[in-house]
Amino acid sequence: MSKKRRRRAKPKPKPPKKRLWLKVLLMLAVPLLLASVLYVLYLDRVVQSKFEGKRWSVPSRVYARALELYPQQPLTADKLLAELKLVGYQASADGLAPGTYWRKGKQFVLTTRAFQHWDSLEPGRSILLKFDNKQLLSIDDAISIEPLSLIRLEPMLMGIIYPAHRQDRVLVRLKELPPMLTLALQAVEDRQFASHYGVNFRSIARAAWANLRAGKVVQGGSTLTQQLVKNFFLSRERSLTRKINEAIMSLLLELHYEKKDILEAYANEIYLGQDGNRAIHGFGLAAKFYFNKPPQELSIAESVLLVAILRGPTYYDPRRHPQRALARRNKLLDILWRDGLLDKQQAQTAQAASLGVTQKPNLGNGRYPAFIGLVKRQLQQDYRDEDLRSEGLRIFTTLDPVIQQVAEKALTKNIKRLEHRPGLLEGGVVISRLGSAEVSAVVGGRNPRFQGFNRALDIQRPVGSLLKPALYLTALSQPQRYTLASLIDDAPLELKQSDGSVWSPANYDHKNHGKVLLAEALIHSYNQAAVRLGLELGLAEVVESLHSLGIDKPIPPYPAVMLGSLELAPLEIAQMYQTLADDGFYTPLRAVRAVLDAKHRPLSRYSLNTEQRFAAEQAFLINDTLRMALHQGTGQSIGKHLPKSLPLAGKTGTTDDLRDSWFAGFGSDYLGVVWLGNDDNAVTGLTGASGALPVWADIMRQINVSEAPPPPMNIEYVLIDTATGLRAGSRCQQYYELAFISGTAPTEYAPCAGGSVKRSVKSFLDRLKGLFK
Amino acid sequence: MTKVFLFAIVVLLLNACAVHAPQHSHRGPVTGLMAQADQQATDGNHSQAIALLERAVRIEPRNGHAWLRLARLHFVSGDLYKAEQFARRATQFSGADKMLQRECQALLEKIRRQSNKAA
Repeated sequence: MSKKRRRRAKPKPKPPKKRLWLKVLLMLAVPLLLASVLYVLYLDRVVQSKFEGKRWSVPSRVYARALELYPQQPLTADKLLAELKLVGYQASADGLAPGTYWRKGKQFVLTTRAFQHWDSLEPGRSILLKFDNKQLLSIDDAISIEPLSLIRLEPMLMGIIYPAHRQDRVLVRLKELPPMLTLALQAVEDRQFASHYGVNFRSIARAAWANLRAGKVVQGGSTLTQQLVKNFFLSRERSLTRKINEAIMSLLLELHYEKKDILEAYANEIYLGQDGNRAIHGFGLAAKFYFNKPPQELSIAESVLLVAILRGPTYYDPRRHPQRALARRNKLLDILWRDGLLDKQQAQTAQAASLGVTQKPNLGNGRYPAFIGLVKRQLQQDYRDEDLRSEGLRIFTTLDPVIQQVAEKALTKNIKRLEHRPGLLEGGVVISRLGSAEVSAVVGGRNPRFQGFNRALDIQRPVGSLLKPALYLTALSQPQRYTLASLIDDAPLELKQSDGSVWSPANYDHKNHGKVLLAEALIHSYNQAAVRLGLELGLAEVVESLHSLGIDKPIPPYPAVMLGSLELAPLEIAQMYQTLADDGFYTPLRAVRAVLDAKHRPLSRYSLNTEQRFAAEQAFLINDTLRMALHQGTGQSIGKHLPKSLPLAGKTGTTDDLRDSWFAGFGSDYLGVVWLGNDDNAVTGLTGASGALPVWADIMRQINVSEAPPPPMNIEYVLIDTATGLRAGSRCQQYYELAFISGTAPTEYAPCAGGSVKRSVKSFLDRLKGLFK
Repeated sequence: MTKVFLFAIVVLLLNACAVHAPQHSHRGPVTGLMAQADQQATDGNHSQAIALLERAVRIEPRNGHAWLRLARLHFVSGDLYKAEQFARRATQFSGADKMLQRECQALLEKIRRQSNKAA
């Protein structure tokens, strides 16, 4: 009973089913709400951290050297034109717009663009240049007609070091974009941009209705914010979840940031085209990519074209589908006129304009892979590869694009002429400037655009006679003991090696020349004389000289080293000959002058450095002999055809069985090293003189223009009789005019010049003996 | 009267020579860069001065004056070894220029004294 009563006393319970539902609902709703809140907070963190942090990995941009222009410069009008084309100048009717030129015969009017070089800002200006056949005569300001003494062009953008995803962009600030570009963007893509909160429900509804009616997707309702979020934060998949994320993140982005920040991010993020495997992002780069202009210089028609393209950069590609691109641009111009953003006149002028798209710049594919390789090598001591790829660095190099072009052409042309089996012969070239030791050109193979093996830097081959100058320099560093007129023995020799075998080096012509002048031994590259002299001097001394000349790697002190068994790359040989050419001053080769960060602040400077390793006079004696080697000795096949006015000097290098063909040498302005050979080390049939020398001469003829510098003050020239090494007279049959440091030339006269007979007979007998050995 | 007239013409012509002749020899690009470098050095801006002089050396690698200025900047900044090497290079390019030779020698002497003091 009591039980019953108690039950009645209680309020009537709700049906248990209903309560359960509520409970379940509550149990589900609370965590769900909590999860949603957490999720939104998570998205908020994603949005903020990415938007606040480093938004993009920006590739580094690598610049060539900037061309200096000054009166009396040895530069022809054609060479200037070649440079202007490489930098991207366009011909025009007056040359008065930035980045354009006008040429009539030997006169140019051109307008440079302002450029922040690594060391200073060069203002843009219009200039008038007058040339004659050999040089730039004068530079005048084209507006004020004031004469100018020095002008620097903007440098060519020679390469880009990409992040792994190969997105390329040049970041721009909103204020750097022409107003019409941002106005058109909003008018076409997102009319309510200025007023919505990230998502525009009305336009989504309108788009949905249009799509429903059409039965397919014909219209998008995304705001610019949503488009940015889609590209910036989300994957490419099309799903409901992604749509929801997109909407939430758009709202969050608008909540935290101002419209102008969002628009600026959009302007840098948006995908606008493809160049091979390089993706073109942002208006800054697109302006350069399509019109070769900075964005500030875009016309109305050009600005609107970029907005037209972004709807489908492949479909509306103005280079591939100009008709489609033109039609869409003009349709957009109509819209802008209808909206009152343009007046009728402006719209009509813009519609009448051509697309204005320039030829595709050949950059993304790596125009100078071998030189970029050298740049990376120099920078790897100071920068991580990752930073080079993502920090938007500006790297100022020493590449001279005109010389690079000369070197590439010479190598390619000569290889085709010289090779026995087509397609196999390969080569490598390094060219550097005397004095500053800046590398001007690097060619890594017969196909200079090939990204692979870089023969100028990475091939390691025996260098043949290229090391001999170090040997003779070692001798001449003891002026009391050796001069160029010292007689040295070219008799055959046999050397027992550590493994018990016998090594007997032979001369290239398989003859023995008896006692020869030291100069003669170098001029004709006699092997037996070289090894004997090396042993006389001590191999350690010669190895020391090679190190002093700039060969950094360990060198085993074997006699065969003197004949070039040492394996080196063309770049290493260039460093060695640079020290010779710079009068015994070692100056490290450089490919980079400076690195700036993305905001143009200096990060590193690679400044000029020099160290005297040999007396200038001693280096001069070697260089003067190398000049004779080219004209009268091992290089004479080509050397005798070179104009006498060109002060060129150099040395051949040939290896066993004619596998490698080398030439290294210099003129008055530049140094060059050329290697030819097969990648599989097969026989090429080429000597240094028949292979590398013609390539070298072809390049050096075109780039060395200065006169020979005067010899050092204490150098005198004396005629020397070949047989005796004594002073020669007019009745002597064979003689050389050799250089001597004052006071070191022989004082005695040779018998043919009326001197004592005894010595000459001895020497004659030596020679005879040599012939029969 | 004619004499006076002729004299006036001669004076005018000579004047013209005096004004125009030096312009060619002194208005070279390297001279300008060196003057700018001197100014920067005076203002204590060494790195900018070095940059200008290196630009000069790139245009005219054998200009002893530019190398000597670089040597002086290294001397002032206390890098005696570098200063000496650059001064030697400058001497190398001084050729027959006695004045430049003397300046190089004077700097080398100063470097030697300074090094002795330090040692």
